[in-house]
Amino acid sequence: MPRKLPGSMKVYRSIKRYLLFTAVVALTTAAPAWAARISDLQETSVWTQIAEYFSFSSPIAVQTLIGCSALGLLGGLLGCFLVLRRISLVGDALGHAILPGIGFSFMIIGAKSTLPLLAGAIVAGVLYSLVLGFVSRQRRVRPDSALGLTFTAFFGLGIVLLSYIQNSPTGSQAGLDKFLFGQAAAISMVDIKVSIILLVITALAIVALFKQLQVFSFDATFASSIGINTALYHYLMMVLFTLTIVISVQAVGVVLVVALLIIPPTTAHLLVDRLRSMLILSGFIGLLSGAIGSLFSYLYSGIPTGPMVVLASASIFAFALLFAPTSGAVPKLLRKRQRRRRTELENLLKSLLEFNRHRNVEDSTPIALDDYLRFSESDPDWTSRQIKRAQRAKLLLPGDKGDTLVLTDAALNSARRILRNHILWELYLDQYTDIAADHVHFDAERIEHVLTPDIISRLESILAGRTIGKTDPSRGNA
Amino acid sequence: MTQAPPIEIHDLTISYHKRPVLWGVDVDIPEKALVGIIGPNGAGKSTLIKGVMGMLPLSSGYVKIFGEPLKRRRRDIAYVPQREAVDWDFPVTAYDVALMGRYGHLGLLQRPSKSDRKIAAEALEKVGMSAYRDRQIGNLSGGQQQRVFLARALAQQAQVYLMDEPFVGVDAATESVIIELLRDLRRQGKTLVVVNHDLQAAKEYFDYLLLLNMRKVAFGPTKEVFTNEILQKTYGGKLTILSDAAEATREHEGVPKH
Amino acid sequence: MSFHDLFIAPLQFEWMLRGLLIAIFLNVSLGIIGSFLVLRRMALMGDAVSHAVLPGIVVAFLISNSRASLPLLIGATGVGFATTFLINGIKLSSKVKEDAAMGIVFTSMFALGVVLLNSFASHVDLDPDCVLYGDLLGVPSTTVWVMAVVTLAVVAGVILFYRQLQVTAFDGLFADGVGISSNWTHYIFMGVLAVILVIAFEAVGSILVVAMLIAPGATAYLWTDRLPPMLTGSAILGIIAGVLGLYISVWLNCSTAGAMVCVSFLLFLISLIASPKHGVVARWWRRRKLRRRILAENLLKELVRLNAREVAVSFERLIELTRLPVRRLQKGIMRLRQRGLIDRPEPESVRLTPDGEVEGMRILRYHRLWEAFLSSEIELPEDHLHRDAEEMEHLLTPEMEAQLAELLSDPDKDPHGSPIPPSSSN
Repeated sequence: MPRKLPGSMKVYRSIKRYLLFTAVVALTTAAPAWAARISDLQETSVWTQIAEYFSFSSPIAVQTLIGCSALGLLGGLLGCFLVLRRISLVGDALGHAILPGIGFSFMIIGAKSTLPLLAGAIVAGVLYSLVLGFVSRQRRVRPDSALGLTFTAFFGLGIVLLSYIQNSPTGSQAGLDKFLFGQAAAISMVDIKVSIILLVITALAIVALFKQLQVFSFDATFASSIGINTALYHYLMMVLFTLTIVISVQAVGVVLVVALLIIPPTTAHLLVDRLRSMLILSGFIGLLSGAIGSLFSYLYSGIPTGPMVVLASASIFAFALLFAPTSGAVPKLLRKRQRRRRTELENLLKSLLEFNRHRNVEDSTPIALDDYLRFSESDPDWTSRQIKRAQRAKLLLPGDKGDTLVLTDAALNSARRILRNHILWELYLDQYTDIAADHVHFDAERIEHVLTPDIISRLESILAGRTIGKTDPSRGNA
Repeated sequence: MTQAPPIEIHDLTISYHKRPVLWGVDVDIPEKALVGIIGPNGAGKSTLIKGVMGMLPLSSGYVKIFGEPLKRRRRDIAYVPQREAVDWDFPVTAYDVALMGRYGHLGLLQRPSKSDRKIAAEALEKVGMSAYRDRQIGNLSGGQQQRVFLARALAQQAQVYLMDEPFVGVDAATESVIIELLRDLRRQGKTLVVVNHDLQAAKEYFDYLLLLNMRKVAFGPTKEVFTNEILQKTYGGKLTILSDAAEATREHEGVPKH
Repeated sequence: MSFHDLFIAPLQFEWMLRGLLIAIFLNVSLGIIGSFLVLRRMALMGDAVSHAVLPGIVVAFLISNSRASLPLLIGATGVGFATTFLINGIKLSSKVKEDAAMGIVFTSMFALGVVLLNSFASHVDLDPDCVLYGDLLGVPSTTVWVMAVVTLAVVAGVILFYRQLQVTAFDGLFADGVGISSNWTHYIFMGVLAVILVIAFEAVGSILVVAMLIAPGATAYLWTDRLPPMLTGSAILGIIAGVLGLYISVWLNCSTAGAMVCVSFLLFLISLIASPKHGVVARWWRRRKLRRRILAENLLKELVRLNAREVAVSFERLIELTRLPVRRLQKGIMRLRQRGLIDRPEPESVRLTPDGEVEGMRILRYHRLWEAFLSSEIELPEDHLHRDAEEMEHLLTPEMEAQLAELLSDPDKDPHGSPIPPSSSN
């Protein structure tokens, strides 16, 4: 439905691109800038440290690398379904909601050990799903409010518990605050084992149940019509999401854990068109972000890992957003520019041909530039620029006399084709649609460049034998 | 007693959010027939076929497919939902979608076999979409998308086809492809039930018509039921009392069983 | 501990009084603005913006090196505002869906903020942990003044531009049609939201603030159907949550913002359960009442059928006919007796009173009238009629009865041939 854009929308559209660009630049420069800063703070240079890291001599570094990469891969694989089913923000909510579980289990156990904390987190996750389900079922509560309300409430409770523990005499050195933004160096062997087991289970589930997951995520109505138990797959996915989030929390923290699940899949979706390739690519991007994150965590332990992992994957996302071959902003811009240039060139050639026909001479007669400029109403600067481009493209040749131009055969063909398209289209609009005659011209000016051979042959068959005034559509080929 | 009909609907009452939208529908869809379901907006056309597909809880009545409950004959019935329901950016190609038609025939862990792939490719061929096989579905026109969904239904190789508004938002070429396909399927002995809201097309295309307006108004061969009187009855405004009653039921959030 | 120790004693401290003021100002403005977010279904946009202002705040801190300054406010607000553009831009210019766009933008911006904060933490007096839950009691008194002014401005703005806010929240296209630009209203609204989020940042951080935005509005929405009471309600709920939360945090020595959010959610849950119109309890109560009425009406109808005005009917017979559990039947009969619709000539049998007969006849009339309607107008076969009429007899209103009688020209027989009792009203 065509609706006139209000002024503000126009402003918005024009600002949009620049905003996007600045934001993306900010994101992509953040990581290198940070790397530079680290080298300021450290005694050894950042490159020495990177080299040290990749010599795999430090067992902690290797452990961190394996852990973070496994988590990235896991998140990348599983997240595809979260993103495709458009429930990314449920993942965010789930990530925040497990905090009170961690707090409670610490209060009970009194120490920070992996398995009890995981158990607490899982209990909180399940409890959260139940509360969210109950609140969402209330017709009076909007779905977005339900989500936002419940997860912040759980998170608030978590913060209360954490601050209470921290202010108590035993809790100050508990290091629970590491769960907020993550600390990859704190990943234990148990964490790694659990995450690799989960990774294997997830990968097996995706491979074995690929067709069900695909059809269920794509078209749940159809899936249930062929007897697929959609509720079962939904819960299977939710269980895997919860487990992934819980196990990732140590490394990236509750606040940003969702990024692990949504940024790699979204990036992959920008680049590929098949679910299988999306899964593979997304897993790879996740793995890469995890690895980069762990590297930064090694380089400077004062910075929480979560934000670094997020920035790493966000940079990849921004890059894809700008440069993805089909949908990227930059290729789109380039294609648009190319189209505009072609249109301009075609317009010039057409206008030159029209000039010759106006003078009632042969189409290929040389044209004196001054005469033409007097005839055409276009801006002389623009025209001479276009002429230079046409000369470079070997469409125009200098004539015998000074300052004359000759259209080459290729140029003539192109100009005739455009002119013919123009006339055909005007004729069609005139005869078959109720568009007033004085509106016809402008429309044809644009359409003439985009008509496909298929449409043209159809126009020809419709308009066979008809003429408008003195212009005959068949003359374009003469 | 002859063979059981492809679809037997008995005393079907369906409610949406506790509000009844269809009351006591009785229909036996005959074999090898091209049946159109017509009626005004909100008459319960889509509801009826969703009810047949077991996607909505039934307040009363039952549906049988070839005399058996749906669960046992699921493979014999194919359903084409309304088109706008899916995410067109989803990373699947036309061929992937057609192949989904085979999924109902595969076991839990079974992968599509060579013959499944062949069936899917043939289905695409039949709807004239072979050339677009590897296109991501978002890059197809509305009509082409509808054809792909039809190919998916064809790949199901069912006996009964239920289609929800297949002609909405498609170009003339696709419409004729679809109608040819429907006739072709009927010649092969399949049964087709198509929800449609275009009266003129309905009269032309279908052998039988089911006229709905919150209840069954009439069912029979098109010639017999496409009369002014019956159309008047179907389209002549809602039965206000029925709507009031439905509203009263909704307000009480259904009537508790006692 | 006495009431005095708990509530009055803390007030002798200057920081507590300041905290109370902040809690009240903050929650009032957040609650009012949040109500519109709830109605516009933009709760999650609020979440995204509140996360995304972080890098703006940090950078402004670094540049101006002060905690309450105009450049900080402007810079951070600009970033928050830009976030909404950015999310929209990604959504419109690629196939990224809104939820993913939101998730990516706010996590990235937030991550950027955290990294900046951590790397330059030594340069500014901003505690990294405050990002999450703020430090309400550490807010300087100049900020209190800013909050007071902003709160007043919000209240005044909502009163002045009430019409615009109401109509754009309800129906943007209509608003455009009558010359109220929904776009501009939206942007101004988002700008105000960003300002408030930035101001709230020091006190409550950037995550928990979402609950303070949404909870009061969503809670008030459970109690009322109209906008003005919803707005005042959310302001009041915000104040309650703020003040109570502050006290709890002082008692337990825990995070103030966290405690406020917990109280807020508790208020929401209580409303969800107890609200008279939409509450779980109210719904359960209504259903119980309906169930009781249906039982009573079914018993009366059965008694009319058995001609119990003249002859007493034994319990056994009733149990046999209605197949009800004995206890339910006994309760039903007890309630009917209390209403004087039946009496008990003998301990084990019942008889209809005149009033009871009238009521029973009415139900029977509704039942048979509905059957007649289904049969003649809907043309359902005879065996489909009874089950539906069993439900509708309890739901028909006198108006619908009159309509039915008129439509069917006052029939005296139902489709099964049983007489339809005449209307009791004439």
